[in-house]
Amino acid sequence: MRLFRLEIKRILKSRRTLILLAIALLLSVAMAYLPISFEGINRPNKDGTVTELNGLAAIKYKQDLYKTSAGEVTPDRIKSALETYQSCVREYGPVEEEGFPLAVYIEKIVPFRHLLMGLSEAFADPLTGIGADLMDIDPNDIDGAYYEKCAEHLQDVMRNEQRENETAQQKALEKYSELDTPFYLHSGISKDAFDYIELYILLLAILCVAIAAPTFAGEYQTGGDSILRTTKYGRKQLAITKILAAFTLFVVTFLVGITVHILILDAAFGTDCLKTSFQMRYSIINLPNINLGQLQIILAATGLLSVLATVSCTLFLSAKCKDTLTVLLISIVVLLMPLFAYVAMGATWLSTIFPSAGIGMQNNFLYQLADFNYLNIGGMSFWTPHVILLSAGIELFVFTFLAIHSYCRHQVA
Amino acid sequence: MKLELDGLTKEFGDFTAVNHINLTMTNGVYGLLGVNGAGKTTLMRMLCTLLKPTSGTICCNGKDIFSMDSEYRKLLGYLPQDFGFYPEFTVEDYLLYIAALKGIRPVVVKKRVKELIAKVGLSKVAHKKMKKLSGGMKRRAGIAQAMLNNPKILILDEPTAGLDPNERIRFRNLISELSEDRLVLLSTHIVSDIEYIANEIWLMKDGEILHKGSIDELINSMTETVWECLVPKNRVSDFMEKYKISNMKSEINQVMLRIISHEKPVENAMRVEASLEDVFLYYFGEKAGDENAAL
Repeated sequence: MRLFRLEIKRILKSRRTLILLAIALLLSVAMAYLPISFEGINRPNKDGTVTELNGLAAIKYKQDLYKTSAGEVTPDRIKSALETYQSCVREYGPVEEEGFPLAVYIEKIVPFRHLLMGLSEAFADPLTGIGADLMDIDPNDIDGAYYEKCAEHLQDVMRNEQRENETAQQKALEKYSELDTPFYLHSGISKDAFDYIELYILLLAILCVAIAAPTFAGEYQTGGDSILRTTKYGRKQLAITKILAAFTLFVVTFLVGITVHILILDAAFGTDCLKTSFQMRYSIINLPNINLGQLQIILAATGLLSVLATVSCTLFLSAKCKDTLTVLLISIVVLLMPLFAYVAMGATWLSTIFPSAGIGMQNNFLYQLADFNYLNIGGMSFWTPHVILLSAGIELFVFTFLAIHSYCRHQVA
Repeated sequence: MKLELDGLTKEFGDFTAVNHINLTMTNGVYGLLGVNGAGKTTLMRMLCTLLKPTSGTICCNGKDIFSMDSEYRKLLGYLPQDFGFYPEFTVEDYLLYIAALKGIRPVVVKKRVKELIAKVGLSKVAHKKMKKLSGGMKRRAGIAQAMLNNPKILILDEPTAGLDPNERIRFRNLISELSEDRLVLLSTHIVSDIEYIANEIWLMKDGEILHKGSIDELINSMTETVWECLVPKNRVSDFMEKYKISNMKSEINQVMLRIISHEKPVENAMRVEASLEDVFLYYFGEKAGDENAAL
């Protein structure tokens, strides 16, 4: 414990580490501010003028609008929203055309927009998957059969995306059948808010890798290691202590950073919208049985796991390589590999089994939750979020063990 | 305390850094003398379990040091030639950190650190950051860390490298003071570092121990004689090509040469008593006329 305490003290005495930790905390605020600043809406005034609202003012205005549409997503409410939409279009013309009155759009369409988007998706063309025109849907077709239509659409999508793999199709449908229905909707939080959680995790991962890179290699480089490893506890105990201290620092930094980030987002967008079902914010046929509040927690928890797995890989490289720069460069390549692999080849084993597979842009855990990517091997199908979690969990232990082993076996040349 | 090296060899690919060394050490100060690249550091690293030998064994009181693992490291104090420190740590923090690694009990650690800081003369800078210390002070902090666990085996690799003459003398005295009741092995390529403090000196060249013994034994091992003579300045280069010159001192129109040679180099040459520096030159030096002469 004394060694652990001294190791933490040693890490925190490094100016480089302190600067990187300060950047991590500053980024948590800056990255939370960005999606708030992106919010905007035009408010029609009683005198016929329009006021452009941005940031917190836009969020506040939208919150008031969305109150009317908040509640369970029952077929009756969807039907009613569709009927309102269709009557508006019949009266004023297509919504997207300039002639459509802004006041009507804001009052009658905007609050129900997410309900209508899901509806268009549920009635999509079975072959092409293109969403149905809301004017072509008969409101009577919704009666009692809305969720069955959603399941049918999922079946169509899976048939197109996993044509060769019936197991994957079957698994997706089974998972979808387990969802809690009716869905719940309380619009208000933007998708950007969740994208920026993932982006913040990517930046945190880069900072943690930069802090972890010199853990062992830095000592090899300066020669300090020669003194440390000739002491009584200078081998296994020191390696374990260094790794534990690094993990403790990263866990605390991550938790503080992500908590501040999420608290700022929730304070701005409100907490009512967090009860919204995942399906009502992303795709109506998505598989996770969670709401947006749970999504925030899941993104933070899986982000932490991925960061720790990535850092454990960096620690292994640090115990293996003789200089910090090499460790840093290889670690950054490992960190970004799933991102590049996903861009180049889509969802493959390569983009999902790296420790950093859940961190990145299109490959990140959020996008995998919102997608229908299954990886197949020997007649078995695995949903990519499960593969990412399992790989990161295993790699965290394997790389930590290898880091300790490599440090103990290292010889001063 | 007894360390036995038996057939100790270390190869790096085709290069043999340490070649089949057999030695026994007990308590006392041992000086390992050799030119750069002789294999001194490799030998010391093996003694500190930092490098595994390619073949051969090192035993401490009959037990293999690599099998002893932490039991051996508990007995060890090591100061490497170039050692990294934590720049933001104060001297005291640094020593407390190493003390924890050495397993020194918390109840005694502060007292021990304070004692050693005083012993190496760093009391005034105990709370200064390591990065602000001079080279000599850092070396003294280095020796303090090596002494923290009151080691039975103290290994110091080129401890005076980069120090000014004043610091070197201080350092030498300090090592001499710390050498009681323990085995101290000190490597250097500076003869005066060990001339006065080593009980036994080993001369190492190309990975092998050429000679070992006390200063007198080493001097007696020389088969050539040391001469001093005055020669005209314009003949110095002829002498340098023909003989090993251990010292030159300019005088008016002439130069006083200290020459190691079987034969009397000139008529006026006087036979003088050999020193350890002469021994060093005798074994490691080359004449200016030799191919690839190092000196």
